[in-house]
Amino acid sequence: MFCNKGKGQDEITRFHSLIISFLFLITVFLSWSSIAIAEEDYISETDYFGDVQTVVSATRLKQKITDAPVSVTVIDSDMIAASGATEIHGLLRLVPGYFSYSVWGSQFGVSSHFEPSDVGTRLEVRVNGRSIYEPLFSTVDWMSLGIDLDDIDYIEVVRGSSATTYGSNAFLGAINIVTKDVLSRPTASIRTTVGNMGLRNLTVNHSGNFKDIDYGLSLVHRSNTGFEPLDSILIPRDLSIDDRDSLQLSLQGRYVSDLNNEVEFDVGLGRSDLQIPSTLDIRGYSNRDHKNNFQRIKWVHKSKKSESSVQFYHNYLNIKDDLSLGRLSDFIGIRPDQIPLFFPGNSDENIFIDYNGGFSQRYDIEFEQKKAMSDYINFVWGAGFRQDRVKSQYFFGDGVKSQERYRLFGNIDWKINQKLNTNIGLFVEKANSTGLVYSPRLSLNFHPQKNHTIRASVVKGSRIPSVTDTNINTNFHFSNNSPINTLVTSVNDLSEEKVRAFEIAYIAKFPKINTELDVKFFREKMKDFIYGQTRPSADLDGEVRVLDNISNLTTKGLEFQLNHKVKAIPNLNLRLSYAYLDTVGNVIKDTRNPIDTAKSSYLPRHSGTLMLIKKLPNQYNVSGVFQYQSDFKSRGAGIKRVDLRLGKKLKFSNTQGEINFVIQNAFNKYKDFAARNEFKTRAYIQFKLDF
Amino acid sequence: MILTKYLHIFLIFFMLICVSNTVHALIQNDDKQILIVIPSQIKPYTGIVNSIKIELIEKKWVGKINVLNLDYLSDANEQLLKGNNLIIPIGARSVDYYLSKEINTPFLASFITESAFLKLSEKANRKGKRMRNFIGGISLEQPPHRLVSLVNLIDENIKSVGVVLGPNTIRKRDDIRKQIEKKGRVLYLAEIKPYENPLKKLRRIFRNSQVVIIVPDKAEFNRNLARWVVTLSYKYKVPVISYSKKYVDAGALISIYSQENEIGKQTAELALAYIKKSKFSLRLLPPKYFQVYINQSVSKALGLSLPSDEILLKKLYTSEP
Repeated sequence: MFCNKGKGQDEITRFHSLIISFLFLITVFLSWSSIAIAEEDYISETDYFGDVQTVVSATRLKQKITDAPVSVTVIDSDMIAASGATEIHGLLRLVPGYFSYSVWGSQFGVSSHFEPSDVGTRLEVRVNGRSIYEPLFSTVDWMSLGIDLDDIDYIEVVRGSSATTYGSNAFLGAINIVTKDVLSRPTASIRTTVGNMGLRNLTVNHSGNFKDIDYGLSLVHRSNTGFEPLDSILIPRDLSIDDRDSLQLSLQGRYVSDLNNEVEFDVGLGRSDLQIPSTLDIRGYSNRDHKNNFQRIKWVHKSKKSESSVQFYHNYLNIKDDLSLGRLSDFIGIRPDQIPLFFPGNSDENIFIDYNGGFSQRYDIEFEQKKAMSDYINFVWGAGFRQDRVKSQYFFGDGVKSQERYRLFGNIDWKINQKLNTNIGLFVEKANSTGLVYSPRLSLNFHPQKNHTIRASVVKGSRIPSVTDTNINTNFHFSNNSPINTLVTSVNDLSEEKVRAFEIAYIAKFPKINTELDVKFFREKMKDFIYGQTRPSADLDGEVRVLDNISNLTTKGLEFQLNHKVKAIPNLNLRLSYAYLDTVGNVIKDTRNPIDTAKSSYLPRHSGTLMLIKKLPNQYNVSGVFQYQSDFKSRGAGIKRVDLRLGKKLKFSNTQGEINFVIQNAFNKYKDFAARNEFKTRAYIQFKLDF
Repeated sequence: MILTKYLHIFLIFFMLICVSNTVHALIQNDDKQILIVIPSQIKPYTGIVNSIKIELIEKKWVGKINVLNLDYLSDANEQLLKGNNLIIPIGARSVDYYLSKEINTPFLASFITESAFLKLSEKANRKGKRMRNFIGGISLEQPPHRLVSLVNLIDENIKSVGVVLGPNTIRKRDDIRKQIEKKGRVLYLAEIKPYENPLKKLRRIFRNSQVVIIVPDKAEFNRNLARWVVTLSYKYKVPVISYSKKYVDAGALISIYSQENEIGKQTAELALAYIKKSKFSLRLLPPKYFQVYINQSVSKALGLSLPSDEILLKKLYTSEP
């Protein structure tokens, strides 16, 4: 019966064997975490001293800060309340080495160890595990998160490249925003903030339980009138029109089937009406309309020594803009009848830059497993797939551009002995436009005695160019799509950016004086950075910006943070953060003028904040934040800013509330990111009630 | 002359007493041997061994103390099982090891849960090995009366108490009920099974109780349950009494637990009582020495004003029967 098998039979048998082997592997793989290891059927003494709570995650593993391979700053709910911030991005100024700023009143930015720009890139930002990076503009839209400051439980900010943990986007850092558990939220709450800059924020929340599903529903409205117009010849009044009005609705939920299994989900949709200052538009600004929605679902399974999860999410953003250059003849300064001479087959017309049909979309699915291999080794690994799709006539011309990425990652936390642990991690990615890209990391944490840790780590991070980087072809065109002028394009062989970083850190606790200290020295060498270099072209204006891997930067620095509970004065907490950054780079900005290079001082050399929080009698509390930032080349004068907050907790039978008076920038005015953004003194009232 | 004679007699008599005491002491102790069996070299087992040794030395023990580490078993090591007056297996794995051996030496089990001890005894009995060498033991678990005393000290006016039990602790239900209902309090009990949604039962407990007591079960169960317990405690503003410092750091109000040096001290006391006076209890005793640990931030958040750990501990010791 087994004789005389033809070639076809052999292939079928081989194929069947392959299928069976594959199914077997999947079965073993899926049940790996549940394999019973001769378990005793009684409670042993080891069940008493097991962990009930984890502390921090910098590697996807739950670790103490002293065991993590990178520096992490945790912004907890006390800090959030005391900061006086009215927007989430404003919290990041409390983190050494991070900068938060307003590109204009309707758009904010955050950067880490890199020059602030209107499209802050190279930073991974996640809300409950969902990346909110937006691929069309390669940035984060901080106003469309669908969450309020009060919804946040804590924020973990990784200082330094986190590409080994989260991939390309975490090239220079990562921010994980974790919202409060739906179970712990009040049944209903209302929060409002009103004040200068036309700020009118309103958040209404409801949480409850429906057929074993715990949920939280949130409606967030935010609006402001942006920076006040400057009466300046250099900055036309209309260039300061940067209003924003946004409305976001989101639903967060969880279903717990048993102690070992739960499903969490988030869905949201929103709309923002923005006014974006623009030197191109004949009005000085354009009206932009954002519509966004997102969905996320995650299944988590826990077993004795492991935790596995599968997460899927989808982000979508649709953009419409009515930016108008006016008549082309006026724009380029020629007579209307001369247009056909310069652009054969075309005549003079109004030129619009319209993102009609412009959208960006991301699909992402990821599997992750954390496992305790022994009492000394914890391991996390995972795999994922992502697809980014973008469309914009202005940025790319016709058609939808897409990029697919595959990823595989892992990290081992090995406690070698009582005094030493090591983390070894690797992230491997491949996009359809690149080969395999690796981001490895190695760290050693030495604990010479209790409460003291010295950490040394090296990391190599790689950032795959985004779908926008590789496909950009920004251009003006006639209504028949024939080109007028190309503004930005990229080289065909754009490759990954690289960073090599070394850091040495000292983390200590001094319980007798209620002090915690974290100091880090580091050096980051960034290579093949994508930079838009101006090059000559045969276009209308004779030049074009070309994205190419031509920039190299080295940043050396020190970061320091200190938490101290002042013994002499009860209920007074002090938090200090400081960063010294010395960035040197060399890139030719314009090939027609090779001498014009961008050199050092990309970043403020000194920056930091001092926060004081004091609880007063009768439920009052007061806090202040002093922020300092030294001058730096590309943005001019530095910042000296003092924010003050006075709050009082309220209680009426079963209702609790709080009222806060906040003054931002009490004594000075300064330029926030750009000369047009004059940050004057602002005052707000915040009021909230929980039912 | 007479004085010198009596002096001589006195000196000889005195020397005889000293020698006999010394001989008596030597006979008492120097040939006595205790073997401590530990499952591995990790803290808290090493902590218990050290505190047993310290306590024995302080009580003038001059016999031998050997330690057998089950992670490094060898034929040579297993020779240590012979010639002992008492064996002290620490932890469930050590007791299991002892019971698997054909040894007639009396044993004093320590640092073991009631659940583990019961199961191991049953296993031994099934194999035809009776527990005749068992002279006593010390459990890890705080007795229910102590938890109820703690409830009284938190707030005397507490009328309703919630207790969360897991699949391996459900047998304690009656004992706990007896203690709590003794003072006219209402007990709300949640028996959480691993394969059902825990939140329904937990919500009921937290809605109806003024304080909730968590009884530890298996580590995985404890870990998965803790998250919901701490979250609901925060939501319903109900304090939680737990069993470990880590739980309190995670958000419980207070925990009551025995440290390894305290278990070690009590173990040494029982060992000496057996060796010197042949006293034994023939049962698993609850821990005699314990600690409390309060999360003062949680206490303030819940509107309670609890005294310091030290003062509360003193009061608890005073209320011990």
